[in-house]
Amino acid sequence: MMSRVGRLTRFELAKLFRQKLPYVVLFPIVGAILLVIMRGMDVKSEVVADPRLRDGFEYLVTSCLWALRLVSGFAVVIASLSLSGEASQGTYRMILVRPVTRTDVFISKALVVAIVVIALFIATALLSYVMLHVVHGFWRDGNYVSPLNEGRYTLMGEEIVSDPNLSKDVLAADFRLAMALSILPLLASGFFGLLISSIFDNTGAAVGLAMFLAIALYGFASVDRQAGKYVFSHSLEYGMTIAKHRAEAYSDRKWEEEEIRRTWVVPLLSGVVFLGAAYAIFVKRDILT
Amino acid sequence: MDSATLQPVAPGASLAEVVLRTEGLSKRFGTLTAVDDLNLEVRRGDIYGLLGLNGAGKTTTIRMVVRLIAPTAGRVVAFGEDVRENSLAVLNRIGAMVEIPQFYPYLTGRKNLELLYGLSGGADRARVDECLALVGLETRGDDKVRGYSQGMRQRLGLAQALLTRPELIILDEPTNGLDPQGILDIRHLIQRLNRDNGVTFLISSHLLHEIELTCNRVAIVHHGKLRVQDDVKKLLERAKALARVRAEPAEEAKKVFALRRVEVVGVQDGAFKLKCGPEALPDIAAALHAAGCEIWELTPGRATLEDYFMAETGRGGTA
Repeated sequence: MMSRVGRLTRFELAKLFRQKLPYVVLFPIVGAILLVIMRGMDVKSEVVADPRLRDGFEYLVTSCLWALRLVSGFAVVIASLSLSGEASQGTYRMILVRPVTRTDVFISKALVVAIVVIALFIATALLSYVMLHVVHGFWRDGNYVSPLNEGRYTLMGEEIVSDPNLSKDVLAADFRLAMALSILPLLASGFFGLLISSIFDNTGAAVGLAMFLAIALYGFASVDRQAGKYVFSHSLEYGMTIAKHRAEAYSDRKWEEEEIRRTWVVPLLSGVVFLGAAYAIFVKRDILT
Repeated sequence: MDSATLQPVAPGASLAEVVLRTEGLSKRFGTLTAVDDLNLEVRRGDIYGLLGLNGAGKTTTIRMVVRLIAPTAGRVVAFGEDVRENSLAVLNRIGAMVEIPQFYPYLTGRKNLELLYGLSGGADRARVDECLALVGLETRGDDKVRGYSQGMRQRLGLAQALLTRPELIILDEPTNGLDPQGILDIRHLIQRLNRDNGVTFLISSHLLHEIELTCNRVAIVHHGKLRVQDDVKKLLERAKALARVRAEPAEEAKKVFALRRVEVVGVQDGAFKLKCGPEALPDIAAALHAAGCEIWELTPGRATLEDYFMAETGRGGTA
């Protein structure tokens, strides 16, 4: 089974690799969003108006959150095209007459969705990091000063302020936590798209419904913040927000472990349910296209 | 020994190995019965034609054979294995093209074949080239499929079915969209693979002439039911025994046929289709004349599958 899934996964990736256009279009958009957000963060006025012990770290988290929101929507679209695309093109007739099972096909599709989501996630994080340095990094006394913390110093505008309480390692750990908490909601969004995709033979209907539901859930979670904690896609917000709060409240970190737990448990359980339902639908359905 | 080999052989049936059999195969979509208790038998070395009008259930049957859809009842046995229970073992030995083949339009024909071959565990690029050459696409293999005509897609579909050198190839309307030369090429290719490599074919079509020229055995399916399954030669012999007589008044003519115990199997364009050989026609003509009938047409049966098919499916009305 592993070799069949491996072959199918390579098959899917080979197809994806040749469909460069969506990714080529996506990254300038993500880059533009990052640029606008980072430029909007006026470091100098912050120094004058409200000097706080926060730095490029917060800008990174904030801009990353916006970019990952876009990636989350993209993951829903890509995944909702995954199964319905084969059905609408009629290409299942070529795949399923070969010595592979539907379980193999489903696992490979889910794997590819996961690979794409993780790849987009890593690319977005790297792009955010690069953009942060492009926008807020500067040269001082012939040396490049990173917008992120340099040792025991924190950057405020174009000044470097000594902060004996600030540890680069702790902030880096917080950032890693925020990013780790973001992967699960992104994956859950992908598997949500896969579930919708397993129902439809028509890509337009699949993408349309998946996006409508994703936006409706996002709207619901934004309006009802209490219930929103249990919406899988909204965990993205919580993961990043937790990290941001950690940075802001650096000197007085009181962590609600329950909040963190919910941030990964909700998308994890949702993702498992989406995958299970999509699998049950896909293996039972007749391929009529 | 599996259950498939324990089935009794029908009287008169050949003892040749059965490579594909459907047993009581049925498929219902809501209230519509697309395939109804279908029992087909494809033997090794056959070029087996599955004939039927549009909507007769041919494609649904093929989809059940390659497990794209699940039967409502019955089962498909291929190479002695239940297709649903041992699909991998069975599909390793089958190549199939279901309806108009669809490929990834942004890939070249060659890349499509390489990827599909890879799914079957194949990695031999020379085999891909060989298959492209077999279907006459060797010079267009590096073009993207989005630029292919329907006929070229059809050829590419046939190429992908050949990739793994299967023992049984299932083709659903393989000559759709092909020009006359293309139809001839595909027919010759099928016959060559059958003759030289012993490949068994199951071909569904509504093109009677094509099936008659290509196949050695045929099944006629009508409204999802099997009407007949036999050697093409035998059916053609039977078709010979269908004469066409147009005589007036028709009521008088009917009485003559009844009196002489000649079975009327249908009425087409005002002419009776009679179950009788050419040798009986002079007597029938004399009897009609004696009964005062005017004879406008009296044609002995032709040995064509078309005549037989029309009689079997009741096209042109019933007596």
